[in-house]
Amino acid sequence: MSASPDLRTVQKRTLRMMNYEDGLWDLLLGFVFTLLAVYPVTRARFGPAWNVTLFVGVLLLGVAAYRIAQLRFSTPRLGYVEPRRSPALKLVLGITIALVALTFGLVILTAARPDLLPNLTPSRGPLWLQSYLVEIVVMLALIGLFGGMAFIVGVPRLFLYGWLLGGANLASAIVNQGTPEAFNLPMGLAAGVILLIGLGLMIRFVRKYPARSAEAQDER
Amino acid sequence: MNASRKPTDGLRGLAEIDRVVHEPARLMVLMCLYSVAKADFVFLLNATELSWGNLSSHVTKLEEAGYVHVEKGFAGKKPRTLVQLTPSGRRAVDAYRHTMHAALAARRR
Repeated sequence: MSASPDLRTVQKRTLRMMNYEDGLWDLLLGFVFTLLAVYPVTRARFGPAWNVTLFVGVLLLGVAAYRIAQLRFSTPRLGYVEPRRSPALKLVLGITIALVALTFGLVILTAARPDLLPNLTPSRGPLWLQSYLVEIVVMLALIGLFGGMAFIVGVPRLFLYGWLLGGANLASAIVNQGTPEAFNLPMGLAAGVILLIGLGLMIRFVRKYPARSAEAQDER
Repeated sequence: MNASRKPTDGLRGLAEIDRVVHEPARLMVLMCLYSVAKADFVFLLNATELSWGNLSSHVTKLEEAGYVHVEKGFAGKKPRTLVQLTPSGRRAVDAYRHTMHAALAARRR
């Protein structure tokens, strides 16, 4: 071990262990984007109002399942840890939540009601830029958001997720042009890749951290 | 470092370093606890990769020094030992970091 303690490295490692080692977060993210991929199909079937209700309901169920899985699956293996809520962490969390909400809002809006978005189309410039400016902005926002998260918590795969999801959002605008009720294939593929990564991480997590027995804890 | 140079304050500080904190295994435990509010024994085991017995003895030493607070309880029907850094433990880690940084900075001069 190094004689010079690097607190930032230890903090990053602790944060990684707490949130990103079990693959559950990746599975939740993949699940959310799977919902977004089927969003146009269910919208055509149930109508906008019911579809939003369904989307939010299933999303909340997913989040509840994530929390339960954390408690029943991760905690017995990884152990219980309570994060320290320092003012700096609160600030970072607040900014992250605001950015996530903003990005998701934009993704949902571009997928569901692009007409509600302000007209940002420039009158000059290349045709591709004029046609897909909003999608390009969303893509850059996603890459920036996930890239920032990857840097802060030291999890490089989040950077890949930013590219995957941002690229999928742009690709879906190109592929699904004229067929807004079709399954969002690029988003579905991106979500599938994230789900596979999550599953792989979960398998590695189970092998790396076997469930500890209560008897072993009694040793102390 | 130039051998003709006298040891600086930064280097002299090493002689007074807190040996409870300086031991590598205990330092790992303290660093882990520094970044969280509290953690249970299983988490510390995974984070430090120490054995049960080893971790237990180091936590006991830290508890005796007043650097950590150990709280035994139950999570459902399973026993759970929670460990938390005390304010004096946090100060000890800060002081240790300060001493080490000062010593390393002195070496660079």
